[in-house]
Amino acid sequence: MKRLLLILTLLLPLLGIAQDGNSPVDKLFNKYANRKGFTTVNISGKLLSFATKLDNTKSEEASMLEKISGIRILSVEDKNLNKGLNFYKELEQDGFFQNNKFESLMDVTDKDEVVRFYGKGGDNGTLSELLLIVSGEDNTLISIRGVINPSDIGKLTGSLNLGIKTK
Amino acid sequence: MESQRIAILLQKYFEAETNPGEENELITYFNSGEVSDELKPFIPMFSGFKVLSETEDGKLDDDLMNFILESEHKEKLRDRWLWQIISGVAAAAILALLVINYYSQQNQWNDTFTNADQAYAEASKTLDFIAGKYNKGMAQLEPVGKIEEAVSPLYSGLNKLDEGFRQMRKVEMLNKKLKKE
Repeated sequence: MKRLLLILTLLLPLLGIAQDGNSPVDKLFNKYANRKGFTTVNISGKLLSFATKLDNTKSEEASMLEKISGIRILSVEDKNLNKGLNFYKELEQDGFFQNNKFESLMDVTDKDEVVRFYGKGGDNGTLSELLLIVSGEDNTLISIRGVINPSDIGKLTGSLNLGIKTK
Repeated sequence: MESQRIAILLQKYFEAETNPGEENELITYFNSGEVSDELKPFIPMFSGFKVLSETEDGKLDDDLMNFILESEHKEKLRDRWLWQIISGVAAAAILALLVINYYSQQNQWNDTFTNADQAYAEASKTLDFIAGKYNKGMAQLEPVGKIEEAVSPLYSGLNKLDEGFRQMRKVEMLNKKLKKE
């Protein structure tokens, strides 16, 4: 009995490590991946770097994509599903904002949607992970890993309405 | 006659050639009380043997042996217990590592695209979306910058006021010095 307790106490930190790899964001992705009405997009850094090598334009975007090690997108296509869902609330209930080293960067509020930017600090003021939680009429979760410089994002002249489909 | 025989036995005894029967003979002779004068110096030696054999030293031996065996056994048991713990922990750690490995492998998601161009297009689309939202958020921050701009003339005015006060203080110091003199 004593031995069992000892082993369990020794194993607890290891379990912590295992859980760390399985962050609430991953949990959300795993939960909804391949379900009806949900779309998940996974792009690995390998494929991106391969593509950026082919791209000779040397644009701002290409140099940014080069430093990215992975992009995951989870979006909801079904309108009825969207009504009952809120990724932000789900993450909040999972204790995501208390337990993780994500900092709120900014909230952009629109008429019928809120886009929340969360960042995990990396080296020299860059981010190691950028998380976008779009909630409201549409629910989308975007996770970008790698070396992300926030000011680089601003340099891209992204237009609001031509972005990815959230509907 | 007997004393001669005993003398021979003694010699054999000191050369360690006696058998147990002869040793017993020696012991009984020296304890009999009828020892010839020349052999008397050896009495204490053999009477001591008799005392020793009378105090059941066999039992003492057994006790000692038991004690030694027991403690050895205990040590072995403790050792085994320790080893069991160590091997148990090691096994558990390996198991945990395997589980972690399994989980992390599960977490390694499959690429949605096999075509690099498609992946690139999707990625840049995503970045565009993010940039759009980001710039929009930054645009909302612009008024804050304007407030700062508006406040800056106030700061420069205050700085001048501060400088004036500093000079006033200098005048005061001068006044004090003059009064002292």
